[in-house]
Amino acid sequence: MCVSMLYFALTVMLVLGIFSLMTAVALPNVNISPVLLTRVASIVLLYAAALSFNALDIQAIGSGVGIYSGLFQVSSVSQSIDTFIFLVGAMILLPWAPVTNSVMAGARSVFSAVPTIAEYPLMILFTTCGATFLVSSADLVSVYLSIELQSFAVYILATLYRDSESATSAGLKYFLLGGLSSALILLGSVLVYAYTGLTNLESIFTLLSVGGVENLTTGLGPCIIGLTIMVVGFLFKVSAAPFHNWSPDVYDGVPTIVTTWLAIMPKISIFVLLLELQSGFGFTGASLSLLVDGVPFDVWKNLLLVSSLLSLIIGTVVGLAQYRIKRLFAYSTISHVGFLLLALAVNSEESIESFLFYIVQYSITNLNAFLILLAFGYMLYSTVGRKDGYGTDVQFISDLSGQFRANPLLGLALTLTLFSMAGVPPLVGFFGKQMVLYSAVHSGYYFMSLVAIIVSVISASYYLKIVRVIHFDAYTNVQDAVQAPKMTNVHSFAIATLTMAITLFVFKPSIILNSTSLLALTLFHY
Amino acid sequence: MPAQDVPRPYPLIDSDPHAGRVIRYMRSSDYGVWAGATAAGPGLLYLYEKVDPSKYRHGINPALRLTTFLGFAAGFMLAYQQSSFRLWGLKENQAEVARDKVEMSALAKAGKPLYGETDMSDYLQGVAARNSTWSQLKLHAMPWFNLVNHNQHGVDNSKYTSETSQQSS
Repeated sequence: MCVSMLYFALTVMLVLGIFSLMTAVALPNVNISPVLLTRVASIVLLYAAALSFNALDIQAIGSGVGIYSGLFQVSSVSQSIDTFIFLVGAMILLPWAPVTNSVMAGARSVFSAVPTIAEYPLMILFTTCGATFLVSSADLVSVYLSIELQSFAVYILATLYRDSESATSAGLKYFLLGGLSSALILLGSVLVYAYTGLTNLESIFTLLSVGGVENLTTGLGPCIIGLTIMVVGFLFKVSAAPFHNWSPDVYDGVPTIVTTWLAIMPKISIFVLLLELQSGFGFTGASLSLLVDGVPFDVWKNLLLVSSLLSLIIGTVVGLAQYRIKRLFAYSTISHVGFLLLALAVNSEESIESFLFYIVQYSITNLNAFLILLAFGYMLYSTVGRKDGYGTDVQFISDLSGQFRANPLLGLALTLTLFSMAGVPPLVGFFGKQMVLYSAVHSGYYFMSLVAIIVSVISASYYLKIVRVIHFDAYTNVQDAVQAPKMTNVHSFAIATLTMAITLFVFKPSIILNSTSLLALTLFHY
Repeated sequence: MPAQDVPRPYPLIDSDPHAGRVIRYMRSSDYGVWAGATAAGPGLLYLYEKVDPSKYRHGINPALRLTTFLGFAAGFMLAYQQSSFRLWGLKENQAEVARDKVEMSALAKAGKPLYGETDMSDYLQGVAARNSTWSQLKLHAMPWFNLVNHNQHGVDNSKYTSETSQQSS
């Protein structure tokens, strides 16, 4: 017991936990079940949220202060996002089926209904550790190490369910393509270092602020190439088009409980890092610009805009053809990434405010969608398991047919969530899209705004397809009604809370809107 | 390299206080936070178990003990942060300013080093200071405390010695 306490205590002290992990997993007689370990990890994340929130009201750090010899930088944005990451992470650890004898007896066929792997919460803590360091990184070295810490843990998370062939396959694909994107980030970092001799981001930005680059091969030109390659690596990791091909396969292949994490958490930290890199350019007056025939060409902005355009189109158009629900959610995510990149590329106070708001609203909406999907899976399959070996996961949209009749509240909650994703007023998703589009139009990005509006309308059709299946298709009872277990109270409470937040946001929007507005202001007025 | 200066609403006492000093300067309210955080974790886990039983054959006592320990650690770090904020001059610190004046003036009068004995070079003291300054802001990820007696605390030490000399004259 003492050893297990030490092991978990060290894990809570995130960095030291790395060194204790390998010995810890080998320890026998740890008398805490994976179910309880998962709950303890959730509480750990709540404690971490309290600690980061405690430092949030320190106005002096608004513009950022360097820590650990300047390798990291703590700012109001990083503290806020840390708090948000911890809270969302704690919620993702909640949605498991109730522990019943029948579920435990069928643990192999319903392998992802209840926690059975002690390493699952550990991996969650590791990847959260990477995420929190990533949002504070202020050096090429710390950026790379943080992103790898975050990524390695999610690769392991994806392959944690070794009994699942699809999870193993998806995890391998995730690892290989994630490795490729990491290699791109590393290559970019090396090029920047080779041509500047610097790794500190602020120093690099200051050097780049000296003047425009006329040639890619001389002077600071290769540095521009290096930073561009780095950004491509980050776009790979957030599954922005055209670097998105891995995400539908990975989301679909891994158990839904893992997909929930993969779809939300790694993206938040990387997007915030991109925001901080962009702000760094703004602070120093530097730009990732080339002089083409004497006219500055902003590589950073155009890269984001092209990726945004492709993400909006591919995420919507390809999403229309999906009949597997997690693949559909993957394409939906790609489409939303397009909105986020558009807000980032516009780079005005309004757009950054909308960017931060979009991250918050999309994270909670997506989280709710996955919580409901998991709940439907437990309702349908937690005693019988799927015949095709996918445990308790809902795989096809048709699996949900007529579920409104069996579980009206869940069906309604999913409908509201999907309407929010589609941008139907007065749900929170509408305000996210409205803010992004308003800032884009205000800054003169008419074409991108038009495309975003059109694809938003088109994407509503695939959300409505799910709504139609749930509400109007014939109901088929898969599970024995007498033995059907209910979802846990905590899971139910989480769905209810998030659904209410999504629905009732319009009545009390000031908390989130004021927060995102203040954070955006700290990035522009330091 | 001096520590990054930021606007402080209250007087700066120490920009990188030694862990011992942070703990000594804790107020009763900090101990209250510490105790509350220690109790909150196991309380939450117990509530969770009542709402959704885990039905584990060994019970939840080992997990409760673990969570209590974690809560104790988290409570300590919360209290540590609060105390540090006051020493940094970022939160109300009237009592701490008075205590600092008394303690430091006494040390100066006795001719002792204000921030403890050290055999490190100036360079290494600078390295130590740069590593630990502001690290309390990232306690949620890494417990990094200043355990080094260095000479970089962001205050003009002459204010202690001048007061001592005024008193002696």
